[in-house]
Amino acid sequence: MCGSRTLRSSFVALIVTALLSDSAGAQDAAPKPNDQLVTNKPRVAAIVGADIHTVTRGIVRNGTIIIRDGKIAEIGQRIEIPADAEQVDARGKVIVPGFIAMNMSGLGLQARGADRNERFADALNPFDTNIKFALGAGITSGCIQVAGGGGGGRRGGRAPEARFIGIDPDEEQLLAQGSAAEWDYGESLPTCPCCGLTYLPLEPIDESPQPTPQQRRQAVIKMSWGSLDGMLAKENVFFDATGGALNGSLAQYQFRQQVARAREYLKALAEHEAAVRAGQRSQPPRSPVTDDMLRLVKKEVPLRASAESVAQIRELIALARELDLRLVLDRATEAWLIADEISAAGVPVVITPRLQRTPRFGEEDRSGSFIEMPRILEEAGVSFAVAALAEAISLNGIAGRDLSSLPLEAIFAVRGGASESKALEALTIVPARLLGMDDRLGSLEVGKDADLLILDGQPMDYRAYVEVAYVNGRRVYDRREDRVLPVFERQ
Amino acid sequence: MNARTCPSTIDRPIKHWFRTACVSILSMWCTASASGQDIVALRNASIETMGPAGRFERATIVIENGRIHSVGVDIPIPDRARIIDLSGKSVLPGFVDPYFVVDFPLGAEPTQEPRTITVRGRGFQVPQAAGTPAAFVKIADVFDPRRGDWNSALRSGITTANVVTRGYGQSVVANPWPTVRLDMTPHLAGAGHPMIVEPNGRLFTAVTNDSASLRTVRDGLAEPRPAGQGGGRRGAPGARGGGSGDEGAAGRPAQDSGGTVPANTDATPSASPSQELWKSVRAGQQPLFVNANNAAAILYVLAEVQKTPNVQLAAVASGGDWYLCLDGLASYRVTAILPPRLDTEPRNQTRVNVPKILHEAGIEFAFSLSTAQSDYRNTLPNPLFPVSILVKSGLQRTTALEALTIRPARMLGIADQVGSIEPGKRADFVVFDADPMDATAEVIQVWVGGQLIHGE
Amino acid sequence: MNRIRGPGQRPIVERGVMELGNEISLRPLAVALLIFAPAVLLAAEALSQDSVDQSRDDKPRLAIHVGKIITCVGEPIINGTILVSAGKIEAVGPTAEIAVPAGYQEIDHRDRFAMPGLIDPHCHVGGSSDLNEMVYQTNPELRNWDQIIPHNDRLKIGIAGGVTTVCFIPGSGTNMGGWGVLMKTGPGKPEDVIIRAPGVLKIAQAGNPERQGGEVGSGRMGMNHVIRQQLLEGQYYVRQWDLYEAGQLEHPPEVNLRLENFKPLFRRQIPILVHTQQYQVVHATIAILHDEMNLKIIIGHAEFNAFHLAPELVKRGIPVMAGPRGFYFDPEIGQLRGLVAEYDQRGVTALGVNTDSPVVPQEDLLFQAAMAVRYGWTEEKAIRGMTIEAAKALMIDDRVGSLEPGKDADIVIATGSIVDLRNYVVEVFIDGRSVYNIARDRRRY
Repeated sequence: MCGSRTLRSSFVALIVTALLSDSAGAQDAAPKPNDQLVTNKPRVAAIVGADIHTVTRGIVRNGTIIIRDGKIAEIGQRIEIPADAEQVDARGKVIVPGFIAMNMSGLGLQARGADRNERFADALNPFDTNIKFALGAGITSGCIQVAGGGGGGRRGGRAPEARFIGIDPDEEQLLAQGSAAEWDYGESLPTCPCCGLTYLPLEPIDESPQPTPQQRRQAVIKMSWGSLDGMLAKENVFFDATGGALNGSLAQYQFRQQVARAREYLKALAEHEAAVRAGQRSQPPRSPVTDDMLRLVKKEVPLRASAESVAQIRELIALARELDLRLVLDRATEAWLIADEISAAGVPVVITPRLQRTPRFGEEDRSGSFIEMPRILEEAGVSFAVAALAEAISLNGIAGRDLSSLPLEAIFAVRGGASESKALEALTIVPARLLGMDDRLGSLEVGKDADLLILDGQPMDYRAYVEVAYVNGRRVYDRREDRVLPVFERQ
Repeated sequence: MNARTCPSTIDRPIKHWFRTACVSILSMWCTASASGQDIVALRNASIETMGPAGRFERATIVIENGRIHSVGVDIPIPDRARIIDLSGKSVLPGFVDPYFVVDFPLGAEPTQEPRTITVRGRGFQVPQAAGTPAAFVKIADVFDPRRGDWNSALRSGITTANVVTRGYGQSVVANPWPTVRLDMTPHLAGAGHPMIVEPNGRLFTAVTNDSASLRTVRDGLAEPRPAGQGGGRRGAPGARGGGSGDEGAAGRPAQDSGGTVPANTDATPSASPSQELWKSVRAGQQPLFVNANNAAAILYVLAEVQKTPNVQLAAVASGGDWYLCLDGLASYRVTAILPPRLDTEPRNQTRVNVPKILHEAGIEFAFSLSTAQSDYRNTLPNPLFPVSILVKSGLQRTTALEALTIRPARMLGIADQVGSIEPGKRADFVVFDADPMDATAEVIQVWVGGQLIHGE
Repeated sequence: MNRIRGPGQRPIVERGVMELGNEISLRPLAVALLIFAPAVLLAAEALSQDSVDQSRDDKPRLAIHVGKIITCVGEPIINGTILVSAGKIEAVGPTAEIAVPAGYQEIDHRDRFAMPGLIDPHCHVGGSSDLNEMVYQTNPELRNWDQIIPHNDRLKIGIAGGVTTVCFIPGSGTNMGGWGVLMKTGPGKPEDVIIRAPGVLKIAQAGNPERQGGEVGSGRMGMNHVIRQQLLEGQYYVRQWDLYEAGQLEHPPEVNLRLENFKPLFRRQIPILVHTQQYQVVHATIAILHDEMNLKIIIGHAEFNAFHLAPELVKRGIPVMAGPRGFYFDPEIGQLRGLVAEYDQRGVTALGVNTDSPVVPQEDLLFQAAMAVRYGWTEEKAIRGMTIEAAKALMIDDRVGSLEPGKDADIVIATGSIVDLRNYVVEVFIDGRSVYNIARDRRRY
């Protein structure tokens, strides 16, 4: 796997010929034709022969998918392949929709560029190598989050994980700038004195109110490597109150006040508009709240709040019902204890099945995390998406702890008793719905975005690798060419 | 070929001390009144003319009045010429650096170049203070000859430099002077300094993937709104780049120090120097020099430039990831400005010869020897060592030498003056003690305007 | 108690009387334990079997019928039966060939897999977590089996992940953290759960024990110096005793309680678990601890680019227990390398994974193996790596690591191959006792 690296791309082919070793020949060679570099890929592709897990419409065995202009044009078993299509042989492979991350940071954006004053659209970096790692994990799009940071905040500094190697003098500067783009699971994680690596939080859930955090800005971005086109898929996804922003009565009081002011404003605005229509003189009202709050009150976006304990979950459900808001519950660690209530309220949840939180003392059967939570939620009919233990890609060497372990969370949902189809939904159509993008993402249906993965195994097999990923119909990742993950033949 | 007789109109014995003194004090380029009116013949040299004449072996250059009188094999040498024998030596045209960054002290804080840094295999771009776009700086106004490492530039063979600063503004074209001469010159800051050849230079700006720096390009490239269409707040209305989005940026005052706001009030959008420059850029009369040092920023700039078909783009690429956006580059007329350096791919150690790849993709490029990330200061006195590595790893020799001389001269629109060794052009040469693509070749002489500025 | 600070230079005469007294009261127990550990444990078993009610509950006689038995010796057995009595495996074989004697409780796991209990060769959660005494750089006088907490919460979850044996060791705050203990994760008194004490010596070669206070050992030269000095002192001491016991010395050497535990180490009866990660550090480990001192060693951690030393490890038969990092981002090639897979491809067969719990939770030992398989190892090797290879490396393969007659009845029953993360552990036996059963206990992992 490490001996002979095959060529990364056609560019690399040229790079390699440029190496010193073969200078003599290359020096006199005439320039190669430009066509080799200007890769105008066909806009029509036909992927043939795979078992297609559409997620919403069952599995198409030995099927064909036609991609045209970035969208799925056709799916089925007996499909004529257009003459202009690039044909991709995927016999024996499995095709699934691209996975959608509910929490992402530190990839696809300039590390600090997308701060408060910055437009997402101007801060994209489609050449961020982290995109390749995300694609290697199957993530083709996700909700990117910047600024603020919730009550837990980001890790203050990063542990000297690689104190022997790869130390870059620039790291000091990076830390000084506070632009380390690595987020943990909303908490300040303890660090091992022995190796500097962080532990996962195991202690019981802390229910005490946290200071009101700054709101985080989110956008849905696609992992459209190398292209700005269609990379920014959606802005203003949620009204963000993750990180315990609505924890505690004071925070909730202030939130209620804001909602009330927003409603008053909208009412005054409607009256103003009616007056203007009637030809009367009228002063337009000034908005007392943020645009985000207006979008929330108008139900254009849901409220996204974290609620780990039963009490917090109940509080938020009651709050959303009282204020008539749509709600998405993040980090709903104890949701399994009141699955029926959540189901009755019709609230979707985001869970991390690998999280192991110890029960509170004296409440051993009524608190903490539970490995069978996905099964319980599924049986109760609660819609759940999974989130990884961390939001960013990490190369510190600990496997399965960063954003690239997102599929493992679905596998752990299966370990916890959920069906494999529900687990796949938790990576695809459920997050698409939560992001309000299920018209474009989350399943393989005609007319949806051609964001899909060709896997070399079953989607819930921990050994399965993404062989090829398409985003917006473009082939953006190839395991054997990109070689960011190990490449080997499974014995 | 090109053997011509040189009319020997000047006959004055040259003494070393005198030459030094008069060169030190007087401007070289005031041709009519120049006192360096001597005739010099460089003999027996290998000459890369970088012009149509190609390469000469054991040839002669005759210099008169600071200009090249003739060049060729066996050309007549005027009797009174001072003859310098360059047997075994190689002569190249003086190098033209198309993006010579000097940190002039500025009143306003400029937006600085972002840097891509790597920490444990992860790349981060660390921008400088974000938010407001950089102020327009006319280099001629802030020019200070004490800034800039002119000595190193000269010893590296740079005889003409497009002098810019890190932010946004209008360059000057200048000839580096050695410190010894600066010491003997009254301190003259600003446009009047005799180093400056062309005080009204080219429009340049640093761009990265953030709203502030992109706004400079968007505002500039947008056609001004016709007069009478209403009082927009910015000098170049409608230039938000077609995005909806946060209104935070809209409230910021225009940063154009050239007087955008007055220009707007009297509805004559051609009042400020920056607007004049942008106008000529939009018309394709001069290229826009953009320092976009990562591949993503280039995509952003291309997206803007493609809306305005006449714009010529000269883009600085100080990152090794340029080859990643070849599709975009090839689809538009971009001239690249590259550090002469064998790069590595982002986040691994695979070598990548970016100039070679760009050349093979049909993208013209010039080298900037002074680019911060090239190591010309470390490779003195063999400044072409990194170029020779590129040539040894597959870049064509001629392409490499052109990228140091005639191409940047064309890019700057001064190819009638410099960039090749042709009769009538300024007598700027770099003399190497061996073939310039020999990695050990050293610069032994630098001539500017017919004067030996560096070396013996 | 004026101790002279410095590596290996703490003459016992300098010690206070009280302390000497304490040592005297403790050390013989340790010595006895290390020499007679099996005997002591057997005696303990005998005692417990004699006690009336306990014996039936604690050491039941079982016949466990399983769909597939992965014995880790030879081929798996399809539809097999394991006979358990007195905490040991009595017989393993196809159900058809095993006659279940009368009085054996039959347990039906016919739709499940059985395998030996997993062994974590690098664990810090076997007891209290105060595992670093930071005053001296080498601490051969320290041991951690007085602070074990059997069947604590983290070990309980570990059992739910199939872990039945851990090597509970001091931390790497100093170059020689002390002596660790091999223990079972199940319930019982400390003497019940200890397999061997001392189990291993913990040495940290570099990468954490660096000293900040200006004394020797801020860098690798100093750290290697103090390690060598301490080992040479121990080596000399053990050699004197060996000579005396071989009759080549007339008088017995003076007893030095600080150095007593070096006897089994230099007699190659127990290994050193070495905290060593990166190429150069592992190189020093091989050179000093193996080649120069001729000791049994286990390469713990074995991370980053150390896999390039695999041929040297193979040549010497040195086992590698990798982790907690599972991969290495190689900046040369810009690609992740699966660490275990890199050793595997280079021919290291004495290969396993660790958790360094709590860095990786104790129950995630199987997850570490799964990730290693994801990055290029094989499931079969992963299962051996967590059982028999770890047992061999720790030199306890006479007791645990495979399902063979005579070995401890540490058996994990799972819904399938334990490496496939969709499968989970349904029951765990330690010393023949069911210590975890998802039908009885709340499922923990």
